[in-house]
Amino acid sequence: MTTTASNPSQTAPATGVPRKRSRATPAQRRNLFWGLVFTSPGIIGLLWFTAYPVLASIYYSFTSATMVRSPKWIGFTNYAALMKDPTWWQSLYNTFYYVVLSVPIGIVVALILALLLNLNIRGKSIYRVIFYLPAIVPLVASAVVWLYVFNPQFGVFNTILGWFGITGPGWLADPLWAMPAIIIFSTWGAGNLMIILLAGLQDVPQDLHDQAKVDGAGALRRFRHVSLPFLSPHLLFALVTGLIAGFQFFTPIFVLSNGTGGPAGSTTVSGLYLFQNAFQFFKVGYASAIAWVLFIIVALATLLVFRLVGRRVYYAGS
Amino acid sequence: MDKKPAPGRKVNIELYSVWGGTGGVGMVNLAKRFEEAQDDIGVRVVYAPAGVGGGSVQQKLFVAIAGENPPDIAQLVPSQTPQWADLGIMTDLTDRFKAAGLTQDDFFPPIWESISYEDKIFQLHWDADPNFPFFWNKKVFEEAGLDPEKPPQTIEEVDEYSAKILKKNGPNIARIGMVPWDSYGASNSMFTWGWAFGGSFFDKDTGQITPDNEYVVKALEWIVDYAKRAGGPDRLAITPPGLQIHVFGTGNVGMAPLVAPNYRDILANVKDMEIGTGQLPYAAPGADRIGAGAWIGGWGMFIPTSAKYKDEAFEFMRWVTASDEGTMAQWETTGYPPAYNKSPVLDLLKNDEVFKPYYDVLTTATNIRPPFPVSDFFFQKLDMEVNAALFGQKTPLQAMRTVRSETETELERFRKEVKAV
Repeated sequence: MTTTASNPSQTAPATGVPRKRSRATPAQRRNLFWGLVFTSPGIIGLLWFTAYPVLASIYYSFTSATMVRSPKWIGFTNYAALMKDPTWWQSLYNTFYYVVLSVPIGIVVALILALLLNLNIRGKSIYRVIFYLPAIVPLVASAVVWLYVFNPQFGVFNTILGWFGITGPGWLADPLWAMPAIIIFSTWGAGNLMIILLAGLQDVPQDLHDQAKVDGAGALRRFRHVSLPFLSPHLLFALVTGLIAGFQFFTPIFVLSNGTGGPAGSTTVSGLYLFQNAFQFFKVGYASAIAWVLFIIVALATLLVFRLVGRRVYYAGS
Repeated sequence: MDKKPAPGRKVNIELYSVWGGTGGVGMVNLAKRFEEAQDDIGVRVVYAPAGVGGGSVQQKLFVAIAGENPPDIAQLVPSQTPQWADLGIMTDLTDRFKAAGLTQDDFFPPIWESISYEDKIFQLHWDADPNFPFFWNKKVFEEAGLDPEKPPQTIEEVDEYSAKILKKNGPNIARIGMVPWDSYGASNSMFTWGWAFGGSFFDKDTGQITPDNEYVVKALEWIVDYAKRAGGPDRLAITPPGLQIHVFGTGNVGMAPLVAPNYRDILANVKDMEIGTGQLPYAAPGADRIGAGAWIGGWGMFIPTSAKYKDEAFEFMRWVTASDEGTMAQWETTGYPPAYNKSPVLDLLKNDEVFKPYYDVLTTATNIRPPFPVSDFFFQKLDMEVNAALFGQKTPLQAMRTVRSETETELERFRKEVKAV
């Protein structure tokens, strides 16, 4: 878009009289109008389908909303009940268990894959495709496939363990092993992050590596002192988005546990418990309270990460 | 699974069907049969799937109701009636029910328990699911040195037979007498075996739930011990991946309660399997007869409060659920036994080699899953706590007490916050 407005600082007399705010020209107003017209579907959609539900859920969290009848204002009752709800605490424990293990494991797996795929080897494009493919398979389809992988008798894992004389666990059938199984499954989608880290690795200036080599640095030291600082913004991004996604983890657990969060509640994460309350028990107000408590937890966790890790990030060129 | 209404009708009603696959096709054919039976009402069938917890979550239906654009007829699990009626989303059918000349005597006794709520009628049982006759694999019995013509009558005999049937493959269970913790999910298992022990889950007079009833706890203790004796529930390795029929069809399970469609599938796909049929074993002193654990499940039909064509919708419901012609059409199209005790379908069932065991359950069962507000919450807690006991995280008594206290809290909340509105 072009504009015909002149710079007022060049034309204003130096008299000490306050300058008038420059008024938009007809062309600018016309541009603004048409700009708004063309972006209005997006803006209206955002307001109606995102902003309104978000604001409505704040209100509903203070009511006995049931989705099918008028909500009644009950103040902080939902939040108070949540604090005394053992299933909520169990779901929160399960959520933290998942986040604390799956996020770092996911990052490490993606980083190892990115480093391997950054090597100059023949057919690396094929490897990149192979490792990225799982990330574009729909989650539900992946989860169904992994049901077979985790089958206690016929599954891939226990068959391999059996070769070494190890009796594999019951995986999804055992409360002790169900969540570790889901964490293993979640590394399956490391392809997205792998691509981002690979892009980061390729941004590392080659001459720095060469200088380090001349100075006698081995591969590990070059990674630690050259590659890692350049990757730190990408890793921070991975950590923050991983935390947010981890706290909202839902689909695979819904599929793998058939919506129950079993066995014995061992995979009932907060997102699933929210869903059960809203759509199974008609407790929309309570589910909204869960959503907002979860939001606060995610916000605090993100803030903590920025405070602890944000300062150690190296932005090349800044 | 969807169907447009027949052209040229005075009124077209809309019906939400929860079933996909053959059930959905059956529903479409049933709607066509109704259109053939009269000239005034057309039926649009819309597939609105149900999921989680035996179909308790019907998002499409809830959204349609919340948006005040519901179908004229929808389905529900009958035990949900008290909660849905209290939420105000079900039309009171009492007057229409009486005007149609229907009475309590037209339905099997347990069905009436769930059709009526606070002396009003809110739904009609679309079908009656007899849960469960008892089946055993005669070949497995022979291999284990048991008489294939002599099924267990009592829980003690189940244990005795199971010890002989059990086969291990290292630590894994390769063949098992029965899987009492998974008779169609943990909560259904608890109901089945709880009643088989003589337990009770709900006191209708006081409105209290009683999952910590002495005999229910005894039933859970038995389930937990059974699993432990077999090697643990996580060591069950009797189901090949991708199995499309009930696990009883693999020949790795000696005895099982089965629903009619599963039994029919096994007969059709495992032709050389010799299956004995009878009634569920029981445990004295709580229970005093074989088959005491049997109960009636199924689906109900209701008219949402803001539906447009209530009279026409009731006309369809009445035809399908409580008329000779309609129940026969329902049987021929979707294949579920009727809840209407005067249906000619019952004669067919009685004389059908496959369905005879189901007829026996249908005409003798006295139990129904407790219909009270927050029943879905109750079932989910049962699922969770039965598993907690099964995996040794809690004693059976602790588990059932947890179910009771948490459900009571939820019931109190519902009555205070929702019903009172």
